[in-house]
Amino acid sequence: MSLPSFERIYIDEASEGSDVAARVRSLYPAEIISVATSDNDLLNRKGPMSAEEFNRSKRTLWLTTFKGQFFKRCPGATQKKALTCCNYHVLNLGSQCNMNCSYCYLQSYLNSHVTKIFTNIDQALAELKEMAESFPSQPFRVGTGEVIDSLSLDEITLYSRKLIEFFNQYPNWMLEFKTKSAKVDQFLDVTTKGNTTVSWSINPPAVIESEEHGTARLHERLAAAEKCLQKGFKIAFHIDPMIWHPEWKENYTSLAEELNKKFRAEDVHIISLGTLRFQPEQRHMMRERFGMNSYVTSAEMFKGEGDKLRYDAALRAEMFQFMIQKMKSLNPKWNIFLCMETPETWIQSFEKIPMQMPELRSFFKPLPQVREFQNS
Amino acid sequence: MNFKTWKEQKKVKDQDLIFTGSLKEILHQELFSKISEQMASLKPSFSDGISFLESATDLILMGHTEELFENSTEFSAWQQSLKRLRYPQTALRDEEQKKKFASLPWPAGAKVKFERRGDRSGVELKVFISGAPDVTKIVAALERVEQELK
Repeated sequence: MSLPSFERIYIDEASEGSDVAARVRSLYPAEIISVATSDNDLLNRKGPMSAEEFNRSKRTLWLTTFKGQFFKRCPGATQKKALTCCNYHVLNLGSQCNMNCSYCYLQSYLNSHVTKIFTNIDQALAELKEMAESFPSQPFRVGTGEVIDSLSLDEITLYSRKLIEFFNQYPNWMLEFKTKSAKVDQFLDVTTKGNTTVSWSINPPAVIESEEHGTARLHERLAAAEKCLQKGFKIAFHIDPMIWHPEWKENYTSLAEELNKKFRAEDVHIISLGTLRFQPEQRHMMRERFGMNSYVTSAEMFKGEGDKLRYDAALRAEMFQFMIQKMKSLNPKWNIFLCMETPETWIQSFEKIPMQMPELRSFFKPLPQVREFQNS
Repeated sequence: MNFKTWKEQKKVKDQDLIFTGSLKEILHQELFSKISEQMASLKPSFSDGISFLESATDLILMGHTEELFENSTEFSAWQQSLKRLRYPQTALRDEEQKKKFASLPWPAGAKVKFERRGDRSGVELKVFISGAPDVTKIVAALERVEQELK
């Protein structure tokens, strides 16, 4: 398996003593590594990026420290009035991604012109510890894959190992890695207390080939999931974003069958479904970076709830119903929910909202808010 | 009116036409130029014009050529024509939905207007009520509509 590719790596003075810096120096040639200086224009640059700048930001790595609040609620949870969301919390240990999906929301989200890895993970863990000790029995779910893939750079940071060990102390809390990579070998020897879920965002091979550039192939992701399962980790799949294409029914049927063939429903913690959605402003960058011969850029999208562009609501409901029926016909025990969807779509797809579904109620039960906690 | 004048009159900034940055091939740029000149001659509003040109850009990049000029002598017909090219499945779905809604037993005298609002299509219904009996009739009619929609 090859190392993530970078053309240039900068290390802050404050990050020099970190384990990550030492590891980066041991893995990458010295010629591409330099100490970050305060007058470095690229590192200081902020604001929207051009397509070329965005591409370059994937090839430049900056090891630095994060000065803000690491632990936050998932963006979906901040739109509770419009969307039905599942109490997911995020821990951002870096930003940008070394893979290149056409629909990636980072295209409209990031304003830093480089890939960042935050080296002060101990501070993040201290923040989590404080929260965990205040609410040890609350079932918080914490994911690390919001603005960076949880595992695609993990062979550089090895943060997975520290996080698994940390979460072992709080069995009611759930750690979730979310990835499109197959990089799991670096933590498989760490014992889990069963509260770490390794999850994969998956799509049929035709969609991966067309839209998820630089990611692991489907069979590689599923093989990595099998390895994690064997080592006692919980696994989950996000069939998200489902992408409409002429053969979508056949291809998503094959995907459902593949999952059903490889895994028992009881072994898969959750399967979440979502359809393609993105911020309207990112369509220009997507058009410039991927042209219009992509299932994503050429999709028929309309402004919907949360002001994102989404498929027509009836098509979304059709896609959800199709996939739910397919999975349930293979095995009624599959535990499925919708990600960032409206109550109307939940009702069309399941004929009820999550709080009316015993198997999902715990995910959606209101929890203390991080901000409330920090202000108290 | 030519495109340059339309841009001046409508105070169009380069940022408003950011999508044209994707037109790298000369053939595409020429096609865009022809469309924008023709569009300007039809004097659309700022927002109609910008969204029309963005659709045209998408369609040029998707490989459309001559069909982009169908109905190009009247702006709203041309706009609809481009919409059908850019959103072919939704156009088809909306057409079917419109027919289905038109066949429903709406309350007598109700004004029913089919429309798309963002990611949903449906009807706007206007009814006139002068007293409780009207409400009863309308509710009964809407219950029949509900049954047919289920």
